[in-house]
Amino acid sequence: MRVFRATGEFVAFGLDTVRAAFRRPFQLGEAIQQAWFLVSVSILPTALVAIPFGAVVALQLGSLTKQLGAQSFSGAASVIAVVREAGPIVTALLIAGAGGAAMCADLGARKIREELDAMRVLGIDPVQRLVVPRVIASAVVAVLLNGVVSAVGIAGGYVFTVVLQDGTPGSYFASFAALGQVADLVSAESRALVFGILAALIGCYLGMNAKGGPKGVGQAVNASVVISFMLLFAVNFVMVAIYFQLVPQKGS
Amino acid sequence: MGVAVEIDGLTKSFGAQTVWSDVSFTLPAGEISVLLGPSGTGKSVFLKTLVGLFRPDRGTIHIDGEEITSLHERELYRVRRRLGVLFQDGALFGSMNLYDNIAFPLREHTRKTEAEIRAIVNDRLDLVGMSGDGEKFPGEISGGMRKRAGLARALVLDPELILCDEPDSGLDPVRTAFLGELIAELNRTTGATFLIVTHDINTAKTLPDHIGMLYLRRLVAFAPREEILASDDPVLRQFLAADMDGPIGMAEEKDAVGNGKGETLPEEQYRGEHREDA
Repeated sequence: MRVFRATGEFVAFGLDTVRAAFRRPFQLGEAIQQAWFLVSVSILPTALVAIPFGAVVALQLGSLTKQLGAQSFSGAASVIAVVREAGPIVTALLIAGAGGAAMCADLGARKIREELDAMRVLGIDPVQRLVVPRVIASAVVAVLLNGVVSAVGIAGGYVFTVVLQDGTPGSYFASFAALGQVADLVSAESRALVFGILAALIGCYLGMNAKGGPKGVGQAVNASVVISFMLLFAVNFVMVAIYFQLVPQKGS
Repeated sequence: MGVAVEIDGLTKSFGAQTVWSDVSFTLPAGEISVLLGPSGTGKSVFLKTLVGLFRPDRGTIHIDGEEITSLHERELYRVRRRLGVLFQDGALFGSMNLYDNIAFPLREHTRKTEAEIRAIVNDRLDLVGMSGDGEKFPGEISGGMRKRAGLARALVLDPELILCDEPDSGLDPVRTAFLGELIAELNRTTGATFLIVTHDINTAKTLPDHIGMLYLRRLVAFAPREEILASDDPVLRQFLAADMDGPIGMAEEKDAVGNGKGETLPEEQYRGEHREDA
């Protein structure tokens, strides 16, 4: 029962946030500050995760395509794997693990210090004032991070395919164009957008509902990471399934 | 210019635990009232219910004739602008310095220029004896200073009703006396209605016009100060004399046994719950 109740409250919280997003004045300063903060905690880990991810995909597919006798497609396959899947997943991990957790800790601390109550009493809605700018910042940064992951992953894949596995640069790029399409990128970016919004909403919701002192904040942060990981992977699966239903693939 | 608050049949519970039930009294306009009670009797919950942070199970609260328990969140924000609340630890925004904390309500709710805001903020800082401390951050100052800064912020919109949650906890007796004097002074000059929640007996004996007491999930009494101080109700007598002999025991749950009721409310049970979630 508690799970259903919490889910319902979370959905209501999400709707409140959507409604508050259209209420003036929009907290632009807070949104920019949050976006900058998110970038500063996530950009380096993103690059450091994306490079080995691109590399390992290139290695795996390089060996697989060799076994199948389709080496000329190894570049294409690895790039598509990076753009379609690795990008959004790495973005989800980073935005939830670094960004959502930090938001949860911040709002949780404010909650137990009664800052949120003080804000309500001063006639300010914390959802409009604090949650909306965080959700928007997280959405924007997630989309941009996904771009970074894709670019870094493609570069890593190129190095591994061409330099280390003796592929040719020409076939790497030509085969990419043969299989990949713009819709892949659109799909990946829209998933990143959804992940960014969800991770921020979960972090803010659990932070604002932290209870029981500093220990409660710690538990909320922990829960926010676990819950957002589970939810983001499930949403990823659903969105990919819808994508393959709606968008015809090249060569099929 | 203070407002009266009429509380009628107010009841609040969290789950199966009743915090207090059927509380009825009227805060007289422009006067200072103190709400006493042993630890854990839901005094803070009561204060938060008055400002609409909790929704009561039953009962009504009229602030200046307006019923607030049934108001929507947006309308509540309008009513709350007429109130000033001092939270237990000041509840200052940790990300802002004291000046910005106190200026915050002005910047949000008025169209005053920065020069006008500066004048008001400096005046309030002066009032609580903190002129020149505006650049400090809440994390850098003592608990007593946080309380005074919190009071300065509560005063900035010239509220007609000021609610203070344990303004004297964690302060030494001298500072408590000064803070009490400041509250009396504010009441004289602004005419605002005050409700102070405390368990400090000295504050209760000197400061207020009226005293109320919460004990065992109900309001024991609410009456003019002299009447309460002269009362022979065993609970009131014991509490005001800080006596160990009497109905109030070491722990609330022991007191409750006689009534055959449940136990007291651990703080973490209610700290997190708000009407927004309800």
